[in-house]
Amino acid sequence: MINEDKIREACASDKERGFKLLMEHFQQPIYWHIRRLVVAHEDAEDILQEVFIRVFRHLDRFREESSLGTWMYRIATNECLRFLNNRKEQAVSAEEVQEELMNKLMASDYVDYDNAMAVKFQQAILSLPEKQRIVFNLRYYDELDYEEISRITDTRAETLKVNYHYAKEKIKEYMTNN
Amino acid sequence: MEKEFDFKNIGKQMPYRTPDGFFDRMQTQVSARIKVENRKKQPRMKLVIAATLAAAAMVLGLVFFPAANPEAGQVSSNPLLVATDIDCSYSDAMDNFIAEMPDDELEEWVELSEYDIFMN
Repeated sequence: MINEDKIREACASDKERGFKLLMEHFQQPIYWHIRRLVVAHEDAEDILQEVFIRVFRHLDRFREESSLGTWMYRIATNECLRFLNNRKEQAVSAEEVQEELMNKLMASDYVDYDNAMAVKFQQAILSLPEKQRIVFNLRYYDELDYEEISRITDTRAETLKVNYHYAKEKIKEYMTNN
Repeated sequence: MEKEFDFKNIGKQMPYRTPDGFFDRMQTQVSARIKVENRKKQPRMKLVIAATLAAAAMVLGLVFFPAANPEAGQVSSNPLLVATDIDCSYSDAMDNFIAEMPDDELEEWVELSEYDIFMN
């Protein structure tokens, strides 16, 4: 598997080739991160495309203070939040946005409804407040450490630990009682 | 008593699926969009740079070579008035130029300006 240094080197010598490597390396984890946040495949597809276009435009200006992965997750998370906030700006409350996401989960061509437990688990995650949902997904599925999540979300690592703990408790409760 | 949920039972399973060949198509689509953007960008950037240089040259010409201006005599008699005239015509031209510029082009121009040492 190719590492980030190889991608950086390739980007420095030939931007388009480097970018292709970057897409190959990151498109799946970034897609799944987006998908877990916005639920519908069609929305995730649009956002992923937008993320890559933004990354390509700003690749020359990428500062090596953080890893490429952290940078990509940050851009993707911000794009998802922008997408979700757009709905809120259209006079839709946070609860209604959450309900919309639940509905999308329950009426999609790209959800395997035979796996009832996995569907219920996603419902439990969607019942969390937005911030807890982001922290939970990044920690549980992507296995990022708190320092990385802190750089992605601009939140202190201690706060993130508390958020993750609360999220797990709420999910446990949801899965047990529903 | 209900049995407590154990995360180990679910692991990283997700019910989400993607259409067949989605990831291969995504790469092709992004690459195609980048090619189109690059093709559009080149002549636009040339146009923006040329227009900026032309406007700068015009202002410099009027400031440093007032004798070449047929109304140069008025410069000494009423510099403030002439300077105001020059500023207006220059800013009107720039206003029109900016007003006619599509949003994405304007966005690129602003991005470019942020990193331009002469503008900052």
